[in-house]
Amino acid sequence: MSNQHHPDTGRSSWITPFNVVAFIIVLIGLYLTYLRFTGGLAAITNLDDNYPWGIWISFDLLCGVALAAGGYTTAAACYVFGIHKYHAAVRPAVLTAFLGYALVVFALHYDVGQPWRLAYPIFVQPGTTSVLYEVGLCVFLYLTVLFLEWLPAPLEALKLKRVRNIMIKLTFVLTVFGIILSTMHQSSLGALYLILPSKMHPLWFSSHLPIYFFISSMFAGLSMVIFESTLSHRWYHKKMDKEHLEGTPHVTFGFAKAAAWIMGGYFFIKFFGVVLNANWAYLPTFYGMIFSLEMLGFVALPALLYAKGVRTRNIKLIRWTAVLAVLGIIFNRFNVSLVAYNYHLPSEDKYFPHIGEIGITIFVVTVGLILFKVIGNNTPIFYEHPDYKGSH
Amino acid sequence: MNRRKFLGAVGAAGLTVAGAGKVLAADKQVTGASIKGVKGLPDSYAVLFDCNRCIGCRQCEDACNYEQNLPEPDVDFWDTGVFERRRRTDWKTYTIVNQYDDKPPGAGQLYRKTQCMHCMEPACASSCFVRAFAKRHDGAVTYDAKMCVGCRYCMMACPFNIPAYEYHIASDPLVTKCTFCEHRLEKDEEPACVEICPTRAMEFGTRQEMLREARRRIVEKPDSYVEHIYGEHEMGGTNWLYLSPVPFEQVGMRMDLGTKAAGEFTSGALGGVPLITALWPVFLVGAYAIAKRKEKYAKEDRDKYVSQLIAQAGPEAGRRLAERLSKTEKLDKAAIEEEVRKALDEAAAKTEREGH
Amino acid sequence: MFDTVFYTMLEFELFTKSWAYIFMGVTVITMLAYWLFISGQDED
Repeated sequence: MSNQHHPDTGRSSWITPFNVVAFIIVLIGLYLTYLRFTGGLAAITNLDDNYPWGIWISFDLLCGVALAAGGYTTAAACYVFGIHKYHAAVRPAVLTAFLGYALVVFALHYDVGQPWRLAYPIFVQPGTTSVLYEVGLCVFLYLTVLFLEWLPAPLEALKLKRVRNIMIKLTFVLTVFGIILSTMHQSSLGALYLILPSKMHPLWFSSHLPIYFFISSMFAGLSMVIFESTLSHRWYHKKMDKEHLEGTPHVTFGFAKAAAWIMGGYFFIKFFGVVLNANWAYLPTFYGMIFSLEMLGFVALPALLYAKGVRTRNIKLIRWTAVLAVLGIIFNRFNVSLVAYNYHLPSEDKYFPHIGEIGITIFVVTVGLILFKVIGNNTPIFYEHPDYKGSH
Repeated sequence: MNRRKFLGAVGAAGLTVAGAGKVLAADKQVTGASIKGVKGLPDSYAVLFDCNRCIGCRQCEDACNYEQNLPEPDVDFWDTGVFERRRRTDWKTYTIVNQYDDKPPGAGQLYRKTQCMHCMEPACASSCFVRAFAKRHDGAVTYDAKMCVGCRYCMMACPFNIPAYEYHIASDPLVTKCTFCEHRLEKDEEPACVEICPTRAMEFGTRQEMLREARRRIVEKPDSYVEHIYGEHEMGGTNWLYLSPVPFEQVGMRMDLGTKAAGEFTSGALGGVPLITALWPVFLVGAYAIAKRKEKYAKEDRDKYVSQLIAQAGPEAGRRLAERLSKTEKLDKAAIEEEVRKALDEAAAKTEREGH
Repeated sequence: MFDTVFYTMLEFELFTKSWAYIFMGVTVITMLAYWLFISGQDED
């Protein structure tokens, strides 16, 4: 938590706008938690037998995991492909990803009916035929990997030199393992919908759904790193060391260029999805409009804007484009899970989130922001610890 | 060779011969890759529902409610008002009868009973990440309330929209659906709904028997039936089969589900996962090795030019060049030329000064 | 593997995928060890 120094008295205060708002949200979140675990899911959700999955899956799980992909992409760029100029971006990206995945697991405790049994699929009776088993196992393992990748930062702050040095040695192996696990679970989240083609609108269903989700997770992660960097530069500028500040333009332009390139490929594979399944006829329909909006306004447009930003060295354009790209990912995940799913149901049977679902989602994100603040303020994320300069 | 070694050799030879024999015999069991199949469950129990015979009395719903100890329904079983809209299963309603013609509610002639289809290859079982669903060999698809985590993926997966959930319960919410009265099947008794039906709209026997009975009825009364046994192949086949006098869409049954079992849709994607485990290390470490090699050669090139310059013009010039070259990834040829020229100019200026 | 009879595809899938997951763990560890082996040097 941060506090401000009063300009006149020099005394610091916990009453900052962020702290006040966050505190209120946490109080509401705790109350909603009480309602959830005394009244069941019905108390604070609009989930029903036709819509067993709502925004806690669409946003907290699907978007949460896609947007936390900055961890594996940044680590890959730096440690596997050897682009050392991105090094300063690794720790913030890993922290964002670690908190992202931790929050996904936290949010799942609200969504599943019996969260005290969440360990069962891994430790008691694995349902290995299920795509969801694969998602669960991978997320569990990857959360461990992210934790270990993040661990050197607090260890440095705690001055535990020997343990920290051991952890650093594991970086490459953890990075490779993390990329393997990320590929698997990012694609498996798409694969979740393969089992229900009869309930999906054709424009968002393809046997290539796993590939769509994996490829889009790449530019989701890259865009989130740019977005997070924008916010961090606003609030943590004082904490950033020379390496971080000098590296930022490289990261911004490099990631924007990479994202633009990947989005191009993604656009075409989605296009081929329409071609291969002969789904042209669906384009001039209501759902076709949504699909076209998603592809043109939230994939093609940000890709071209990223390209323009790189060509004209325009950091501001790139930063705003990152917001558009992130919104595009959210739009896509919502389209797959709530628009395309059960599209054929009459509108009176359709689902809209309960205010309680929105409340918990905001609560979960706020907890993440609070943790990011605490960790960012107290561990070497935006700067290199003086004792360990250059040693990673 | 001593005796022990000899016996050992004989023993080894004998085992090898026996092993080889087993291997060669196993060869005979091999079938072509495309023919891989499963035995099936033709003797599992099945129910044949005949829409011609259903009169919409809903006694089956009543019997199910009683047999399963379910709470009081929201609307009484004798209240024909329920037919005003199409219902689906819910947490306390494992089976429902809907009316499918335009006649006044309860005064119709076309009704159909909905309940779990007890599929041969259940989507719920395939999708459950904790194996809470099982396809028993007696035909029932069962649910293990002790394992269920409440993720509700089964509800997403079921193409017939059968499983319901106890959203209003916090302590032990469960997924609910028809159990095929397995507690009765174990005693070779027919399910409660089948037993109570006054018009014998449901017939009970093995799946093979029910298919034969269905075919027999179609042959004997072709005007009374659409020539299709619903559930024979749909979603890989189901143990609850249907006959209808009208096209099945008209009694609320989808004809576009296909014959592929739900698990077949995901099996391929899941099969790709091990490939990633094996191949990603190859690609990633390969990329790393290539990147490292490029770095190494680039450094060697830089060092070569720097040491050349040191030899020609002394350590100071070399240090300056090293600093400039370290700034870019690619070999900055322009920088090299410039530094060399500068160093030579300096050297020339120096000799000139010394000459004076 | 010829003696295990599978009555449904579900039984088959459960069997094959379970073994696949187990061997995936083995693969990861083996590939790591294998890389160390390839990158190492023979002692003459």
